[in-house]
Amino acid sequence: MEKEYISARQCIFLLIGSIIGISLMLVPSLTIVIAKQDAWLAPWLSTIPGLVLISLLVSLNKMYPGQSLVQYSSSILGLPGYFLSLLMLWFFLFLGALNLRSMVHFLTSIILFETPPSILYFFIILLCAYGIKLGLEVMARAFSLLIPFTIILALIIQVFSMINADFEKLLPILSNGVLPVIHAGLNFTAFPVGEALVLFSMIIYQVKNLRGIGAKLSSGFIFAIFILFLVIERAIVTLGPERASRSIYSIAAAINTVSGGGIILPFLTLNGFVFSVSELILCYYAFVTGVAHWAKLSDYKPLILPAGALFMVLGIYSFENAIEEATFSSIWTVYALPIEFGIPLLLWVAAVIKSRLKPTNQL
Amino acid sequence: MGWLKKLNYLLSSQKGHVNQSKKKTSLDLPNAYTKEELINLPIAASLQENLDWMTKLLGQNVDFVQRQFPLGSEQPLQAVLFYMDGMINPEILDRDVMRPLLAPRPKETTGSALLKLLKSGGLVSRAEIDQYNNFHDVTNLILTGDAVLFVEDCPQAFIISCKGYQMRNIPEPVVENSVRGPREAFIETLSVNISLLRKRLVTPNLMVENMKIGKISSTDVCIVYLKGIVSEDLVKEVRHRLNRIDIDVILESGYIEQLIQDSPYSPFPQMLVTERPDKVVGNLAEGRVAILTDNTPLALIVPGQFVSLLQASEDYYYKFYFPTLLRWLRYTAFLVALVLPSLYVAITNFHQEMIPTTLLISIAAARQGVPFPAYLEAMIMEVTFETLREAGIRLPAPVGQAISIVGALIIGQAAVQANIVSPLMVIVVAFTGIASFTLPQYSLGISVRMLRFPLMLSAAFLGLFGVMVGLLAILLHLCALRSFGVPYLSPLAPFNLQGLKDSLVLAPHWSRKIRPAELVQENKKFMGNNQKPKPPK
Repeated sequence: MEKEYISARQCIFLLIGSIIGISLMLVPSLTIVIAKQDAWLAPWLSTIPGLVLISLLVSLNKMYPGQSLVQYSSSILGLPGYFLSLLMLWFFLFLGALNLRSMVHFLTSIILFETPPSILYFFIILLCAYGIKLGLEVMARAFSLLIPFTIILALIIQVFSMINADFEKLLPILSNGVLPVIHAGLNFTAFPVGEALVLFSMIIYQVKNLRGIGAKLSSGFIFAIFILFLVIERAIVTLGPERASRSIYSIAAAINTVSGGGIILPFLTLNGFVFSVSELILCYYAFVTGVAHWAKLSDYKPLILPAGALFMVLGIYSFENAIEEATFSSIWTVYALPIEFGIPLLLWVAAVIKSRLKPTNQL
Repeated sequence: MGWLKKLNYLLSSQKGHVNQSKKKTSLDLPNAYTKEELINLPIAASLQENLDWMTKLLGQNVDFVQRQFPLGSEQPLQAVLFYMDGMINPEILDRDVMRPLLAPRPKETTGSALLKLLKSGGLVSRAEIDQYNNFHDVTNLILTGDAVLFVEDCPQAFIISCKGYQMRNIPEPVVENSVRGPREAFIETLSVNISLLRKRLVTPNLMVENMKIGKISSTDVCIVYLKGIVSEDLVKEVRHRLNRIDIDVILESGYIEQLIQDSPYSPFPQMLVTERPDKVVGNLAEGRVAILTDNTPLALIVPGQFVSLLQASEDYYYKFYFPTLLRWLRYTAFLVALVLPSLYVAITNFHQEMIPTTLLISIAAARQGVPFPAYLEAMIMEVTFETLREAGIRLPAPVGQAISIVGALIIGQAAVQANIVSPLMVIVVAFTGIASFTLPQYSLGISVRMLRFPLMLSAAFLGLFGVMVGLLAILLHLCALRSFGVPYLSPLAPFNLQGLKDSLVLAPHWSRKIRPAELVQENKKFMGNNQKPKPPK
């Protein structure tokens, strides 16, 4: 497979984009439902596991430079490693399909009310397929150009929607105890932190200058957490915890309360669209390259369109209705955490033990 | 009869591999000769033989002139001078060539003595005189406006340069007009264009490499660069790409552009085209390479990057605030020209909530009588506008004015009154058109005009989402583009902080110390330190 290289800076922007991703829209309601007015603490709680995951991935990459997770899992564990990476590939596929589904749901419920969803599925996948056909380098360049503008736009929207802010709504702090906050923090760790970070096990090995990559990625990660914190806090102070937990897209609801919000709303949608595409395109890329690595193919490009069809179909048929989806989202944490954190941890421990057992290899 | 042998040899050598049609041509039409055949045809010692060959090669042309005269007063040698009428300067030919050749000399009276003098360069007072020994060079030079002298018993031809064909005066720039800056533009003559560059860069490091492209036209194409600044690989790549061109005729630099660009299918221009020598010089100093083509009043500059397509040479002549604002204006104009009609279609069809209520009411009132959907309305107006623009260029100047009056005033006004389009649509289309004229590079304007239509289509089907998908696809395409190995969107992506000083803003000259990093590897500095002006204390 042709080697492609991206710079650490581009990797950071990809990381920020994919962590914010679709969660820009979904995360406020999901956390506020559980932790009420203390939901803004949840992102900060998840920084610790996030940083641990980053350091795991970086140190695995140091031990097996130039290899993706799919490749080193088989070189660490042998045959079981193949099955483990198969599980990982399924995770990428399903994650991408869910992302796609949420994007389309968001678009149809905010701006394109009467458009058949399958059209939207098709065009989003077509766009992503085009990006992946052009390669990681091109995608990284495009998103390192787009994400700064999108972040600026997000901050402008933030300022706009804070007109009705009432900081009294943040009080009382921790009135329901610590447990709901920890629960929300765990959910937040599974979605969006873990799922976005684990995608980078398929990206980090292509970063050109690896010196200080851990610190750089961590700073990008903290920045993304900060943006999400702002979003959650905005939903609380403008709508109040009760109303925010009842609307699916509380961020849109918050803007609708401002006069002239109608003008901003489509911009907000586009803003969210760019972030979500950056996450979806990485899922797509991770899945396609992962399959290519798993089957030891020389090139991933022939897989792009079949994989796109898989994403589309899985996105359309994974749930019958919104109730099913909501039920599944409550067990998502239990399903995702072992894969997001367990597999890298397992591989890391195995790799460390392996290198201890064979000290001669170190020389 | 040595020349018959030679002819026989030539004909026999053709039999094996050269096309058979030559033999069938009628006798009164001279055969067409390939370059290789002419190179292998040496100039003979016998004057008669050379004369026969020249007559055979060029004799049928009405502008072909031959003048026989004896060289020397005692034991004269016969000599013949050939030239193409209209390509030489007759005054120079008379004064500097014929007169010295014919005038009796006190010392050298014999023909052979004069020939010796001629060979050593002492006889003819023209500065450029050269000796050649095959017919390819001789015919080539005679056809570019030189005179050729054959002398009896001399197996060489003397080429005397006395070019004198008609050329334009140096005009003012027409397409890239400016308020401030030099008022010189390139013309069709290559040597004049090179001189326009030379007088701006007085350095031996300005290299002008020449090559001939086009099997029939044999057009002069020059690669111009500044040695010591430009990266060697870039020059090699340009040379390589030009060398692999195999085409009959080059009429304009556009042929070259299409034959050497990186992505032949991309709608975006991948090199700069300019008629301004000062712009070429500025780009040479940044480490780019210029390609000048004979008979073209335009220079190609490679590699072309997106941001440099939005720079005008005038930018650098004003104080930095103004050009910075101008650049932002151009970036905005680029976006407006690209998406404004599709935004109109998307917003009026899908997102009425984005329009302030009072405006919405007036739009609704204006559109009340219009029978077409917004997309069709936009298409009608855009196509009308493009037709008017095309007609304005093609029509003769006096009629062109009439068209613009009919188009702008009558059609615009009447179309609104007849309720075919709404007034807002006319405003949108007019503004889009004006915005596309602010782009300094005409070819970029063309790509914007083309891309507008698919974007309008996607806006008609999918609203703002469609526009966004279209724009993202265009962005991905731009990120994938490269021009001579340099990423098209650099220095924006991949990002380069120093590069932003000449793209996002235009920093003052004293703070732009570094040449573009993506072009120049060594000799990076534009200027010395501490160039910021300070008043004396």
